[in-house]
This record gives sequence, C-alpha cells and structure tokens, in this order.
Amino acid sequence: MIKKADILMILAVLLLAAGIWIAFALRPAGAQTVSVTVDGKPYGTYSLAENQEIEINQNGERNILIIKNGGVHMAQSNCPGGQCLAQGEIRDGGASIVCLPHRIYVELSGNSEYDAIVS
Amino acid sequence: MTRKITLCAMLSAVAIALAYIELLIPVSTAVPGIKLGLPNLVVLITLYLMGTRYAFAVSMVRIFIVSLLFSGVSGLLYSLAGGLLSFAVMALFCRLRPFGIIGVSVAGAACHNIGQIGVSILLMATPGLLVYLPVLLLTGVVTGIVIGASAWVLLKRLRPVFDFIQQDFPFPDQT
Repeated sequence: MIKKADILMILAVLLLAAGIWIAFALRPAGAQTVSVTVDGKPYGTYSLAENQEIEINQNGERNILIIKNGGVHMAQSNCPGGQCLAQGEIRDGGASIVCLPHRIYVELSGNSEYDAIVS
Repeated sequence: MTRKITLCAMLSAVAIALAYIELLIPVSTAVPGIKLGLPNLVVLITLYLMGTRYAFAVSMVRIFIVSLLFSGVSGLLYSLAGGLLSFAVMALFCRLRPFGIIGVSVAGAACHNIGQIGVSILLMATPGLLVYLPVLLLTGVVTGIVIGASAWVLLKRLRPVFDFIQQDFPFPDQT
C-alpha cells in the first residue's frame, strides 16, 4: 500500500509547499495600492487609503469590489459558486482575492509609489 | 469486452456522483480550488482494475460531464488542466515499481492542484496566485493518503470484479 518511494515523494511535495510558503512569507508588508487584473490585463490600480466602490462588468459577468477603511473585499458577484465573496477582506501586502470564473485577480502591493523620495 | 465497457461506464457514473457529493461537502472557501478529490478514488481504482485507457476514459467523462452540469466552460478549463496532468502522473507512477498506491494517489492529488493553479496563473497572468499552492499541496497530501488507502481497501474487496473481467489482481502477494 505504501512504500519507501511514496514517503520520499510526500516529503518532497511538503518541502516544495514549505519553500513556496517561505518565499511568500518573506515579502514586505504594509500595502498601499490595490491592483485589479482582469483576463490577464491590468484593469486598474486604486489607493487603499481612499474609500471607493469598483464595478467590473464583462458581458454580464458583474463584480463589485469595495475599498473601505484600509481593506478590500468583493462585495458582489454573480459568478457560479461565489467563492470570491467568501474570501473576506484583505489588508496585508501579498494577500489577494480571486474570482476564478470571472478571471479577476485583486492584489495588494507597494509600500509606497516611490522607492525613495529625495527632497 | 462488453463487460469491460459496461464496467467502465458504471465507474464513470460513480465518479460523477462522487464529484457531485464533493460539491456538497463544505470545504474552506478562502482557498480557490480546494477539494477533497473524491472522484480520484474511482480513477485510481480503474487504473489498477482496468488499466490506463479505461481510467483515462473515466477521468475524461467525469471532467466533461461535471463541468457541463456544474461549473461551466471556465470550470472545464481548470478541471482539464488539473485532471490531465494528474492522470498522466498517476498512470506513470502506477507502473513504476517503487511506488505504492498511496504514492500514486498523492502524486495525482498534488499534480491536480499544480495543474489548476498553473492554468489559473497563465489565464490571468498573475503569478501571485502561487501563494495558494502550499495549502493546496498540503491538503493534497492528506487527501491523497486517505484516498489511496481507501482505494487499496476497496481494490481488495473488488476481487470478484477482477475475475469478472478476467484481469489479474495487481497485488497478489498481499491479502
């Protein structure tokens, strides 16, 4: 039923998972911009600091994203399954909201728009 | 021959039923694409019971019909990506002597997740989705082990079916 090679493979998979997790955990936090990608193309970038409602309409596939009080969440969606609605609110750098059926990806990024400001 | 075709059809039906049941069982909604992988139990059993071609048929029939019924064309795309990769790996591993049925099952589960996330990333040009892979791989390992063990137990009880289609039992040295 289970052999040595199985155990080794399971360990390899777990190591891969750990590796990817560590790679993401090392990312800096403190996001300021919300970037929305639809169908692989940039849809828009918005400031996390400004309360706003973003409506995405693709031939009847409707989603509404709400930025409020430093967090983003998917407020409305007519996609089958509504998984994106259950993903909750994201506030941290590196977190994301995905609507797979409508191919929408919302990501937080950027500690600042500028790498450095010299005055 | 008719016995095999009929058996294959029945197994496909079971796979579809399990896919439906799987949709009813609540799993974490925070992670996109997380599943129990119940239909894989049938694909795995068919792989050991009837071989690669019939197992492929069961897998494809399941993916197409379940997508048509429940998840639509985009669902079909994700399912195919995960299903094809997972099947290729399972079919390969089951023929490699060092791997037991649990290894085959875990490899299949892991590849299913990798395939689905891979296609999502390509489709939406967002490598950031990789953040979900660790969780998916972990649950894949756990469900893979459980499904593999279940398949093992079931295969032993299905000895009469092996005789029915005149196939050799693949684990003759174990009870």
